[in-house]
Amino acid sequence: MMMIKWRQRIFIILLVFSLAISLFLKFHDFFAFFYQDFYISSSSAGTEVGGQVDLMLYGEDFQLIRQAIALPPDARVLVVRRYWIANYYLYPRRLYHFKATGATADQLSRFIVEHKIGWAAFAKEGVVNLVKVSTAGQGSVQ
Amino acid sequence: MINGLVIVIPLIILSGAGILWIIRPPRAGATWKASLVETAALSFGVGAGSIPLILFYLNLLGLTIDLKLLLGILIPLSFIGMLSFLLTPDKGFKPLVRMKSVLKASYPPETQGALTTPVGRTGYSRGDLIMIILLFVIVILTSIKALSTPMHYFDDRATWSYKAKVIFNEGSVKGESFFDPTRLNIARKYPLALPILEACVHLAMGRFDDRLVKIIFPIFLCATILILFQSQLSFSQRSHALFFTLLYAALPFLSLSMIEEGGSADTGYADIPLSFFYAVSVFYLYHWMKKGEGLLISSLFMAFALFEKQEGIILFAGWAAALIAILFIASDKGFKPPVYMRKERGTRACPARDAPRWRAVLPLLLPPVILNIPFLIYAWNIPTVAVDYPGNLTLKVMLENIGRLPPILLNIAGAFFSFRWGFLGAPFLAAILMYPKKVLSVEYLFLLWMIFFPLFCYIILLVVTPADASWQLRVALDRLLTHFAPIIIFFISRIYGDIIEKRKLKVNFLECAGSTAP
Repeated sequence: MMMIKWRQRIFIILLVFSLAISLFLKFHDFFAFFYQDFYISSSSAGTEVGGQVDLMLYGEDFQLIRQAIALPPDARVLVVRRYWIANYYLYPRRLYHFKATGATADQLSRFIVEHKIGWAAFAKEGVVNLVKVSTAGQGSVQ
Repeated sequence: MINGLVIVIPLIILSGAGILWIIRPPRAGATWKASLVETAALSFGVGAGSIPLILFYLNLLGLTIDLKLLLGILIPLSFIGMLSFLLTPDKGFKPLVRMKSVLKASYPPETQGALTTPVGRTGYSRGDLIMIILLFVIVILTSIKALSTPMHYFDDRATWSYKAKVIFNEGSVKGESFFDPTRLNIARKYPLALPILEACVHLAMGRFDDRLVKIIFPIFLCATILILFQSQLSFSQRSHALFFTLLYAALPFLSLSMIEEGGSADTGYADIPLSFFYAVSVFYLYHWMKKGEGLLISSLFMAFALFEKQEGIILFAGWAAALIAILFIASDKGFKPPVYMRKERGTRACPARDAPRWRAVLPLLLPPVILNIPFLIYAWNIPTVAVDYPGNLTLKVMLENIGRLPPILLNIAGAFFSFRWGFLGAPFLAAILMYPKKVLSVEYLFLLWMIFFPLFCYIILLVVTPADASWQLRVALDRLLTHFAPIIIFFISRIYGDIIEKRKLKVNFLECAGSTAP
């Protein structure tokens, strides 16, 4: 029978404790996931977004997706905020970011013309509005 | 669609085996003949690391990343990989021999890999079988969990999968999505290994599917588990290796994502792949120190780590510094030099700064840099304002933000002593504090360096970051710790083997002396 020193005992106890805690939490997490969250599996978010599916989509991103997903694939949308998640779902629609703070109407107009923007998304008080932009001639925007 | 997925993963593994065979063809008298476990994990790593690199180079040369190009690379390399499995210089069908050896739980000398010098007993105990089943269940459940949901965290969608979507649709990394600064594309300068690998899977499936593509992340976890297990066999029994491998696989964070952020093996983040590449690189550097073999693999995987995620630069810096330090102290501290130098050593003394050693080893610092130079040039030309970390690395900024340090340190310490890390900090700290003399030896200092150097760099980055440090801590700390989690486990395992199993091994050897060893 080999003797185990107190230091070794502490070391072994800590290792076993760590493994036991880890295994318990691991399987607890698996059970919790398969019991509670499995409904997410009813979705593939590759092309379609919305409906009953909870994909951690919320706020302005979700509003923008719901409105812009109907646009044609070659649509060019101007956004004044960086909607990273919406950008993921809306591709191949092109989202162009324009930093509105400090910009003049003329700069905005030129940006729209240069990038052939067809749509613009503006947010006010957390509500996103997608509007059609028409460029009537060089440098003017209606 | 699933057919494509079922085909492309084995093709990537076989391609990796083919590339391994090309860069390190079996030679008569070579001592490195990897076991099945080691070969499988390495082949997947080489395939998943090199195929994106090759596609990236070809795309820079003007070729479109599409299914034809992908198959044009995968099929010939897989063919070579098949040949490497089927043909060996001195044996017939080697995989069967290896499989037989695994099933019989014996490791005949001819199957000893760079990481494998099994110690002690053969045959599976009941405990071994339970641990193997638990490992198997963890990998399967992680895979099911990954496949149950599409990408639904921030970085896996906005950063990695978005780029994969662009590459899948446009077949290029040179389009407007990357180079027009007004187009939305977060972190467009980030390394492209993961997006290109994801795009390969989408191409093979024939459509973009951000659910099925997630299978690659549990495979990375599985490869990490295999390589961690294999790396421990050089100094421990199988039971020991299985216990510590299980300790790693069971870490809750590896399958337990926070509500806000992912990073675990069932989400589409680059941290688990980076952790795998780093682990292989460190383990092979460690075993090079011990046996003088595996440095090329270590160097190659460090190149993959650099192309996987931007933190790879920090990991590479630590790896390169360690390699140079080893060269300085190698002959004085009893490390074995590389195989090709041992003959020299047999005939004459090898001074500390022997020129042949430096000439032989230092070139292996270059592959990570050379292989990534095209990407560095590419990223340099992307016109965007990134977070200016180097510009912030000034004494002034550090002193201004020094107040961040206590919460950062507390958060890191707290993470290791939290439930989501299974209180891993406790045995790690115990190993360091209770055996200080052991820990101060060179091999342990090396492992600690590979853990604490990146940790120290991450702390510095959190101090100087222009972003909100508390937010960064909340969303990124666990992922950063994931990078060197396998090294921590390896360190604890090594200490345990050194301190406790020294006697236990003897006892077990005596116990097993009468058993039937194949």
